[in-house]
Amino acid sequence: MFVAKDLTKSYAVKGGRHYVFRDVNFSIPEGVNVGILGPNGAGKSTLLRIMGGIDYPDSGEIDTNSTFSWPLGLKGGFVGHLTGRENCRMVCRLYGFNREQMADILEQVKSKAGIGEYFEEPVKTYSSGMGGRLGFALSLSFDFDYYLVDEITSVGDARFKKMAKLALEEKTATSRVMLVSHSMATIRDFCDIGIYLEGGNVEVFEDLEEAIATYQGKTDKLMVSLQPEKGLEEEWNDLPEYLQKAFAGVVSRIVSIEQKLQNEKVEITGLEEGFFTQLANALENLGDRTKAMQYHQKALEIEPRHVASLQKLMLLAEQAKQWTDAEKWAEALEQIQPHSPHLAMYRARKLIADGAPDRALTQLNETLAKHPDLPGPLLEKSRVLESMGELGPALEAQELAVEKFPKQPGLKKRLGQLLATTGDMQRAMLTAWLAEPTPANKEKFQKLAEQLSELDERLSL
Amino acid sequence: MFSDMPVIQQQTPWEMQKAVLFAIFVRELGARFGRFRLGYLWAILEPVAMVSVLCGVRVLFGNEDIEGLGFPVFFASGVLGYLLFQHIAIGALGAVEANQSLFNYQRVKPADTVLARALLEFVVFLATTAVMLLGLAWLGYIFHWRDTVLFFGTLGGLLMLSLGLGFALSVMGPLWQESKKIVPVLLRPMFFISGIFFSANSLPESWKFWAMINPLLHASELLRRAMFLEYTSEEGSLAYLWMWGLVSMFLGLCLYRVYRVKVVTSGSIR
Repeated sequence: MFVAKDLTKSYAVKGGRHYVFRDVNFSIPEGVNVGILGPNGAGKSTLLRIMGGIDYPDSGEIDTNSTFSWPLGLKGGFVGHLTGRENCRMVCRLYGFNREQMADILEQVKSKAGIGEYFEEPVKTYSSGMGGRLGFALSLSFDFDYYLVDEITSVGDARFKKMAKLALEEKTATSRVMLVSHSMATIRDFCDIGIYLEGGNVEVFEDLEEAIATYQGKTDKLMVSLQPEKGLEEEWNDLPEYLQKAFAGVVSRIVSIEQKLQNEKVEITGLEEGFFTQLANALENLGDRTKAMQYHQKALEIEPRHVASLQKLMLLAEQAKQWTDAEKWAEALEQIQPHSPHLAMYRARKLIADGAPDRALTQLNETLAKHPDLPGPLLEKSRVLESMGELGPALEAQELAVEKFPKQPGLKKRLGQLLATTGDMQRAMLTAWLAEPTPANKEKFQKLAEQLSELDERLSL
Repeated sequence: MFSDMPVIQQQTPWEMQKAVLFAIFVRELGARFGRFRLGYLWAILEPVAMVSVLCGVRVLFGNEDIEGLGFPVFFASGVLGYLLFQHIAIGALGAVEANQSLFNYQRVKPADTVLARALLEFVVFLATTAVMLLGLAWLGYIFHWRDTVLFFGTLGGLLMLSLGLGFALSVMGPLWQESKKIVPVLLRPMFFISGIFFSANSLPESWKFWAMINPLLHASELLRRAMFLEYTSEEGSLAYLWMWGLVSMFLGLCLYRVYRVKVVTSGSIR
């Protein structure tokens, strides 16, 4: 929990003062990961420093019982000529750890930071990514209520993000993160709510998407003010404004595109197949399968060997259970890319549909041998095995999938389901929880426990 | 996993302060005595060199004892006390900037760097005093320890005086870079009027009044009186030294308080 009252922070600049915040009031609720968004210079890093206690507002009050890490950035807080190990020892001392505790921590940090033997080298020889990883790994060894992360550490380094996400998931019971970032993907990945800073104002959005939308400030130029259809007014008016705008944008753009395409005067021949593929994918995302297939076929008219569209047509036809058409596309794809994993998986699914799961299994194993880095085949394999009743092997395959692709929550969820089917209830619940450690999910288990106990009680009477 | 880790939320302010002071102390220790032999050597070499120069000059004026002490003993006791003051004060000028990266951690304040440095200087003082006295005894000089209470009482006053100035200088140095050159120059005259190579007793009355305004002169006298039974001068007032010490602390802390935020946030890294 963090409450700011009448917070003012300014700097002296030539000809006056620049106010970063002016009498701002905001409150950050407990138990959520916070994303801090805003244009450059809006005061995000300043806010982080104030939260970390190393910068002070000009006036106003801050009310919080939480402990905060030091602001985690590039190499901040490290002494250049000392080694990584020596720096970590110094910080451990600062926080009052004794020698035995320090030894444990240093081991942990060395393995987590992933900088290898550079741990024994002076910090000034580190790249910025390494410095950031070391600082974060070190801070994770301490028990802070909030980890303050400034964007530099999150941009770019995929390995680092993986470690950070895993670590935060582990500590999810006690700790949260406050993350400053310009990457919406990172923000969506880590955060539950958003704070938007601009022009001296600080606004807390409990809806992360709303914060993101405000930051991106998307105002569609072609704004057809969309009137909700009869009967939808109430729901429409309940929508947040940015969603109304987004919906209106979608509809008006589709109309505009179709109009233009039908207009003979427009230069269609100049468009490449990629254009139609993209359009088809967008429509598929909206759920209009028929139109999507139409545009994929248009793409093939231009370029008959366009793999992306062939694959999509095959998959869309399969979804629509139009097997003859699907076969047609599959064969075409086989001519061009006989080893395509999508093709192999389609064949496997068709074999399942035709009632030959063991051949499907063979097909999938072949694919897995050739493409070990795709989650799809593993998932299909576990599905096939489950449909064949071989729960043991299905579980194995799913566990392998989760191990190899820990970032995909869908895999974990399904693992939970499989575990439940095999009767391993405790592990099933734990897995389901870890896949989605949200407050809503928490309630679900509590409610289930209550419900079941009610039913049980009725029987004992 | 680590159930015996100090839970940060449960640390008392005093525990935090101790941890910070210890951490910076170790860091300063490493920085000062890192290159093993050179650091330790200079710690003893500096006072020895000064005493040798003073002795070298003194010898030209005859060989008598000063106020009952052999003159190397007299000079050594004066030099050590003065160096404690000087090192704490001058060290404070650069304390903040030398430990800049530590201010990234909330519990570290500029005052901590000054205190840690002063603590180190104090420990070095005690060690070098012991070494020098042993050395002088081995060389054949006779002296006997007198009054431990007065010794530490004087040191207390001296430390307060030095720290007060130190706190003031710790914010002055970073915010006004010239002071790092100017202050050592301004303090230089103190070496000559603080009773390192003369006793207040030997001053003519007209000078004595003015000279005794200088608390460091009192400190010198008191230290010698505390350390050596043989010391004959009765000058020097502990109360006066402490008064200066308290005023210095007060003024120094006031100045520190005004600028303590500015000194870590102005031109801060991130």
